[in-house]
Amino acid sequence: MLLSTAACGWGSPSSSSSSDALTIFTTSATYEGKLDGWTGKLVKDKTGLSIDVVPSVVGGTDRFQTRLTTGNLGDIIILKSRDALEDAIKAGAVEDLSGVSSKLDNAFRFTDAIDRVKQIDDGKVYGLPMGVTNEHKATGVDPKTVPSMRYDYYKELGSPEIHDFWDYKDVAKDMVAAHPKTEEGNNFYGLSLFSEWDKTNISQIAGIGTLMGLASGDGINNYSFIAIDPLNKKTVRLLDEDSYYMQGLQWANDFYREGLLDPDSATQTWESYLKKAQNGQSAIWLLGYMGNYNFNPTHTDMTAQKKGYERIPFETLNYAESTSTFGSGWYYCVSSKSKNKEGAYKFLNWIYSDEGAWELTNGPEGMLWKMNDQKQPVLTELGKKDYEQAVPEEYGGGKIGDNYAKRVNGPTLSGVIEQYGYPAGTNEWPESMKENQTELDKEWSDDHEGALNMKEYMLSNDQVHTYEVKNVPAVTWSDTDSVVASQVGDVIKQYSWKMVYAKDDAEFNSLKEEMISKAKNLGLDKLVATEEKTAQAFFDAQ
Amino acid sequence: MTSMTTTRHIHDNDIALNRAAKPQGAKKGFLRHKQVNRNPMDQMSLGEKVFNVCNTIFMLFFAFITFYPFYYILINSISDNQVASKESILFLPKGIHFQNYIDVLQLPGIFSAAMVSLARTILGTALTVFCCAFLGFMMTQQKMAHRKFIYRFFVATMYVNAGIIPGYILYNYLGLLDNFLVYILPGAVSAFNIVLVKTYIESSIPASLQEAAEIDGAGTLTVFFKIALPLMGPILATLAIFTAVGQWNSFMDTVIYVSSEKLQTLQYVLYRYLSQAEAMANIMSDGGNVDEQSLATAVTPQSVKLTITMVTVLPIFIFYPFMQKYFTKGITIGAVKG
Amino acid sequence: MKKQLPAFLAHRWRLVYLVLPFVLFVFVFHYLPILGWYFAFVDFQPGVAPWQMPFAGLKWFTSIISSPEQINTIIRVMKNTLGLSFLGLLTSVFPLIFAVLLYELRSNKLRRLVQTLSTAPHFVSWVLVYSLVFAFISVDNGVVNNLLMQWGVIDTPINFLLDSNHMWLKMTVLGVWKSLGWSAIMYLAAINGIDQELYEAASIDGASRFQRAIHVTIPGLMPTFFVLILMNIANIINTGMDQYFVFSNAMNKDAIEVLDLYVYNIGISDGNFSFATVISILKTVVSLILLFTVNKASRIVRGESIF
Repeated sequence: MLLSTAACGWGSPSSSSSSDALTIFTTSATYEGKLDGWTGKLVKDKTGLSIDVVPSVVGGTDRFQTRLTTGNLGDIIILKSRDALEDAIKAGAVEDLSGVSSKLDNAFRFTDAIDRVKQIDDGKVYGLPMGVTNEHKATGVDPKTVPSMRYDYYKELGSPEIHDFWDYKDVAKDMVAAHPKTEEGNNFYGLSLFSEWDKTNISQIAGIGTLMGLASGDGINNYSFIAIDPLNKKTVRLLDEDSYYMQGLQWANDFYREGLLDPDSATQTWESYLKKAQNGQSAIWLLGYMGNYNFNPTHTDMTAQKKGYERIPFETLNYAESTSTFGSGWYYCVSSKSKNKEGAYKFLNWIYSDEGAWELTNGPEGMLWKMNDQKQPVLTELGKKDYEQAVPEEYGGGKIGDNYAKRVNGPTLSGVIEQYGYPAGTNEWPESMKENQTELDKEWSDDHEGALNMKEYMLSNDQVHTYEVKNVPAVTWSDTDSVVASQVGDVIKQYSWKMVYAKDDAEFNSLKEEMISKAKNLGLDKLVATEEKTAQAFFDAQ
Repeated sequence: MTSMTTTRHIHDNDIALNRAAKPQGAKKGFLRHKQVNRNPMDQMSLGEKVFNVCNTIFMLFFAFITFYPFYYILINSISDNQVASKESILFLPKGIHFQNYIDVLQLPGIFSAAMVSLARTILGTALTVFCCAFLGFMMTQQKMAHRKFIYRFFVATMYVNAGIIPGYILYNYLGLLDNFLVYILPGAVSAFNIVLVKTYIESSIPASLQEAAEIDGAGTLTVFFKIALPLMGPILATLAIFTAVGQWNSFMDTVIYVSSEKLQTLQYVLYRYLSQAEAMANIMSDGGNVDEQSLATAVTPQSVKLTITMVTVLPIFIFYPFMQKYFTKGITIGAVKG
Repeated sequence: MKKQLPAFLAHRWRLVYLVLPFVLFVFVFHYLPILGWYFAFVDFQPGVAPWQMPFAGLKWFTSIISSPEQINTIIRVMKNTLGLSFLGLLTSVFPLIFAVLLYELRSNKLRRLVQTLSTAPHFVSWVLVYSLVFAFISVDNGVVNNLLMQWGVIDTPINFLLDSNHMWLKMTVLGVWKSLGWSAIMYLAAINGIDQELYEAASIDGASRFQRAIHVTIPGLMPTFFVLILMNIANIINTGMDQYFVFSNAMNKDAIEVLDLYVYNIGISDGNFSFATVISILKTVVSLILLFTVNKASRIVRGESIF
């Protein structure tokens, strides 16, 4: 009796039934609800559609697999990997778009990327790759992993020469010796880390490799237990006796043994880590942006006095950057159960257009940006304000920060956008980079050959080497192998942290031996072999 | 409250007890209580006095440490967000403001979420309490054929676990996905509650009452409604508070079975914010394209999360005393009942 | 009398008919999903018809113990699970004691106040509990470390969260703190169900308050206590993971990783549903065996069974 009421109960369909609404199910954002504010108005004006965003992960639970059993995934699905795409194809949850290429010409113009998707299943296009471009070119964005340090302290020490990565520690040590407390009276540590984002190792330590010409992925496949050297076609095993990762652990352990490591490193949450970044409590940040993007904007009085964080390069820095025409490995798909497929095509075609990709990031011309006489994009007065600044009602209201990237996080195009001649990100516009410089930035720039950011400096000093991503097959691990991989990763993660907190060499080394033997007993060698084979396929294609 | 002037202290309490006794509808027995003249205060030995003082101190201490997190959440939610994001506020709020509460109460959909939460709490609690009270009572009926088997059939459900996906597929067939009924139906028959009710009836309600009624010609249902139910006050209150709080706090069912915004609950909104940092971490480690500049603002400030926690918990504390009186009546008033 | 009515209409059967709708309901909502155990024997693929999923045999069952290292891990994880559960069982008497003490408070107002406040931690999620604990005992400006330094107890601040000693005990204390007041509600209800004549009779016989508590209150709570403890024993491998998840770190992980957390850590979160189902099956079987064993044991030892 109860069941019959249930069957005709007051539910509502998950796919938007009206012709001017779309539901986006996304695995890449945490926002949920209507896309409102200026972004919502922009989409409505350009496509006549209103968008609802449903995140996949809520309360620590990923709903993708569950929803896939019934195909209850809205109208547009954003998928985070090729594995997810293949699962969705098997479940019949996503629409083949090859028949409607004329309605999606803006997306289909990226032929490399589309051709690669066609290889999955016999010429069918089940998903549109994100982050696509047609040219191979390094970006102008600072690499995340180039460290930032207190620049004024660095200059106080007489701008000591940093030959290789390991020299950072001595500089950090001298900084802490001179400034045991910050200006606001907080403890000042040599190095602060946190563990929340770790997967199969201490991610910040593994990230050091990117400054030594190594990469954790070839643009198609990602590696957990090896790193590749794409320029020299070599691989490095993370758990080798003297690998850069082991040295990195030793490096962090040195901080600990000399009392320079933030003791909360292994236990603090992302939030307390962020708090420390905003307080400027570490001499060096391995994720460089933790310094200049968190401390500097909240301490404008200090940056005006040339105090704050800046990226500091080292002499042998060698950053390997991939350039890809295949996209980022994330996909836009149209749900096969969508009741508004036409709307979905219309929306996708617009966001893949130059105008759509540009305006979703920066809003319509006149709002945050305008073109100057030299056809260069420059920021308006509003555009120079921070993310919390309100946007006038005529554009739809909301805050500047309520943009598409934050709420849906699906950048369609990467690199230079033809119609505008520049990439969409304001941090790659020379004019706005110049205008946004603080006194501190100007000083850094003067000391670094007039470069406007770290990347520019690295490019002019031949410290960036690009390599092209090749059309190699995506390697999927068997389910049992992925269970083993997470077990091995768990061991590496745990022992790495223990090693960082080791009291002496003896303890460090015995933990290291234990880590290696445990990982091997669980099946590390097989995983490494698989990854090395995958890497070899990539090298062969180069 | 832990005054050492014991006599004065006790006198106050006596009045408090008497005053509290009145609204309980216990007047008729009140005189009898006096007649029995069991005034424990007069007979209190030294040992009992010491015990009283120690017990009171211990209870106050325990109340303090259990209440502190709540206080912590409160002071952090009303302190200046800038200050709260930089230092830990542990004892007194700094730069008091209520903007967080204004912001949270203006979140889109928060009112409708509160209404859904309220509806599921009221309807779900009523249904569960009724089903479990009835089944708990039925399980005490020794005459029932295969009673033991049926009881075990219910109890085993506490431990039988099939995982999320089979349940999801089942609810899909039953039309329960994206349906309000998914909040109140699955938990309607709770083995744990049935066990509690059965135990309570067996230890507190004399079987002789039922036998007497049956001799007068009352059927099983009459016995349940007219005799058992009225005597089950404390256990029904317990079930009600457990179920109501469970309903109010539940969010996993919304996460998994509901996509419609109209059916979102308050807890769901809260957890979306609470777990945001974790979700961000997942996206980052999956190689998601996260704008570093907006990273700091992409995660909701702790103070806002704490405010939402306050907003979801406060209604429980407002409603609580209404149920509480059924199970904390205490010795003096309890003694009147006999 | 028995011969007058057909068996299916007899009173004992009519009682069954009254509960039959509920039995069917429970069958649909709790037993029907067990068909999903089939997924433990295939490579699960969402959205694909069950019969089209590749059959995997016992692969997922054996994958838990496929190498000696994994067996070591499982032993360690089970040790933590059982150890923490055992401490949980030991402390399950605390709510009972708390309820009795609460009942003995002289002031009605105070009793209500303490009772209300003691339930507060139940409403705070573990995630927030961790950030609260962290704010207190962090090395960087944590109150506890600051005080200990001021008093000269320690020279350098200690990271208590990294200290893996007595981990089970610490987790148990926290668990008690969080659930004690809430669990006591059941006993408070039971106390209120005790026949008041028993107290009066005891008073007339000259029993002191202490004696009344021992001879009337506590025996009155025993049925509830035994039922709860039996149910908890059957639940011994279901510790849940929220608490251990937020408090686990590299140093204490060996002592804190319980079965539920282990399963989460090695990739259930990534959607390995076949493997998750294997764990569900094993947990169900263990729990049910335990439940009926302790029930039988109770019949032998106490002379009455619960179920």
